[in-house]
Amino acid sequence: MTTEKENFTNILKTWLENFLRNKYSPEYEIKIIIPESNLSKLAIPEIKQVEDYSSLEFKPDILGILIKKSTKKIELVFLNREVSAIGLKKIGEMHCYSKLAKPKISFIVSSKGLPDEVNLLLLNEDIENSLLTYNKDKKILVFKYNIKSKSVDKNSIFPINKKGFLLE
Amino acid sequence: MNISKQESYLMGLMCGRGHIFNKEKRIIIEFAHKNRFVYGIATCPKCGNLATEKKEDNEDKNLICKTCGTIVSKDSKKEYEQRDSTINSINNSVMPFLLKKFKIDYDIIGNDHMTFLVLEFKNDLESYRKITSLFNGKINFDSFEIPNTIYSSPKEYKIEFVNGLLDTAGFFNRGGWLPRDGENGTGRMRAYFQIVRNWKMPVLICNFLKKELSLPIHTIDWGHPNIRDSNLEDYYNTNPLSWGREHQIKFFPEYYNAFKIRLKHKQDMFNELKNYNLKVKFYNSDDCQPPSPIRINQIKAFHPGEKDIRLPLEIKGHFDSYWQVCCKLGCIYCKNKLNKSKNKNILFITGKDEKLDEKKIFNELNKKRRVLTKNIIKANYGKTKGAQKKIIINQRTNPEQQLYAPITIYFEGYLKRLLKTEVKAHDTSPVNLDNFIIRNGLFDDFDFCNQFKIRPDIVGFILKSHELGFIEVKIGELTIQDIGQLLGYCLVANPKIAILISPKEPSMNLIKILKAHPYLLSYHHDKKILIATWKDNKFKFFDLK
Repeated sequence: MTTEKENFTNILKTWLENFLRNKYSPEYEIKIIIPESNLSKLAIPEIKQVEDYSSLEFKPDILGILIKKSTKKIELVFLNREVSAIGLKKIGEMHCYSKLAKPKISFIVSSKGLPDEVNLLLLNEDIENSLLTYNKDKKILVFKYNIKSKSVDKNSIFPINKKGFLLE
Repeated sequence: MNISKQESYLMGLMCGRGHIFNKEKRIIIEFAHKNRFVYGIATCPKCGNLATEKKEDNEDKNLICKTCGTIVSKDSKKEYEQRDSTINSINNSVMPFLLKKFKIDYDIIGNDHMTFLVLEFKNDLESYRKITSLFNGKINFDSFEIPNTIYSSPKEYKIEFVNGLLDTAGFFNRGGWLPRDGENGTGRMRAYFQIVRNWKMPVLICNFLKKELSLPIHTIDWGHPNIRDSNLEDYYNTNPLSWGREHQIKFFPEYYNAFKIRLKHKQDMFNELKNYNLKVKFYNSDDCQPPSPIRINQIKAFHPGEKDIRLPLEIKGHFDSYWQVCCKLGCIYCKNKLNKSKNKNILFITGKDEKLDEKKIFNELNKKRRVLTKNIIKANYGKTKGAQKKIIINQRTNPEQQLYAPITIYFEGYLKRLLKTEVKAHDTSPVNLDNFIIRNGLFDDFDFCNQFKIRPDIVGFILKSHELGFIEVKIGELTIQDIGQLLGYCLVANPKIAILISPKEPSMNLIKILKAHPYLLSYHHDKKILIATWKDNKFKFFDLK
């Protein structure tokens, strides 16, 4: 029997695959993995091509690997999922992973969204920048995924100005 | 100052639940909807009167008519969806109205319990400055007052202001009915303004509605221990601080027809309450006319929360009636009556304008309160305060938690030596930091932690500079995940010092990663999380240079 977490992971694996295919399939080959060990120890040849991969002593819940068709350059996509509301602890965790690995996109997705107090904190630009920015202008994307309607809750997305990127 | 209807409405929204973000030139409005669905009134299909939930023997949660005793299905209650309705109403009603005046962008964000309307004023700085200046430098609804300009504006502008208040702070749940008999039935429905953490606003709203718009107010249910938890039930059984959640200004909806509620589900619920009262027919406005006599059965027991740090100075102490709280917080109607009375003190403590022996009455009332208190304590003998109960459940049993006590003691001494100032360190892990601060009388010095629903294991409170020190304790080898967790707290709360500690030395692999990527530990410019080992009852820091 699958747990709520496993079930949500599987739902989001499919969502991420579709999302990345819609966005990047002409240029990139796309692989989606649910890692079973830290990325540094994953027996996947593409990971070994990532710069400083031995530092990746962690595992996101879902890993996307984008392989540029023209150059074979590898880019990563991280997705962490929560079946409860997303707290600062979880954002900090993803912040750390993303600073280290500089993925092309980094997601935190919850079936409950953000609690009120974190919503309010993230509406403060300084706090939003320090919590979500991980590589120059790259920011972690946080949103609620509605399991019933099988869609991103468009009124739950942070940073607010990334709504278009996520929904288009 | 001349204002428009849109500005009046926006000020109403803000007084209910607004935030000003000056740097971003944003005004953010909260629309609370605790549960996604709420339910309306149930009436008896036979006689049309109010049906309420049966207390006993009621597995089906069916209802019973209060007049003829008919069993009424629970499904007869109308269901109101709140979140989608809030979002649709913002898009289709609130914003089209505001955009007639303001050149602003907006966005909507939120969850199942709360919707935030984000108003971006970057392209309308003139309006932003005008509106925000009217709140005298205050930036959150918990300290706003009704702007002076509203009092001097024409009636239709005052109505727009109240429309805004109703949209954010107005609640129209069926549960607030009053046991009153009308001509055609029983039970009188009440709506209320819910005011959170703002002690001035309830009286301001009440007096504004009475004086400026001649509307009746029934009562104010204060978030004061004597009013909200008068028999100490929550104190002993659930949460000793539960009284401090909010204030409710109660009113009968049938007198509030002049207003337009722009949130559709709220307007529908309001109409349901109003129509019920109109159908049952009541001839008395039940308007609060303070001071009203305090009957013997209204005398309240003493409550340990009467001196709580969160209570404003004016109302630290004991109260037997809500209007006494109103009076202390500036109700003009109370004050006028008291000022005119020759028996001012007696009138205040009894609600009766009589010439009596003040000392004798005072002693008699205190005696009555002591007896009540004694009886409550006796009935709850052996019970622990609700909050303590919860903390005891979290007693230190696992190896990580057993380290909290010695590390807390060492951390306090360490910070004192390092900073040469007064420091108190506590194991804060059982509750969120904001809650810990309130419960431990630190709110005056650390009120900036008001929104911090975070749980560092140990916090050092640097009393003079009002700064914090965090420690996150781990029992095993430290990981990048552990760093991330503490980093999340640090990026928001900006502590003066933050230490990640374990009795185990960090692995060489982690040291290698941190040496290669020292920025991983950084927060707020020059500050860095320190990595330490707990060895021989002291900190051994790792030099990562």
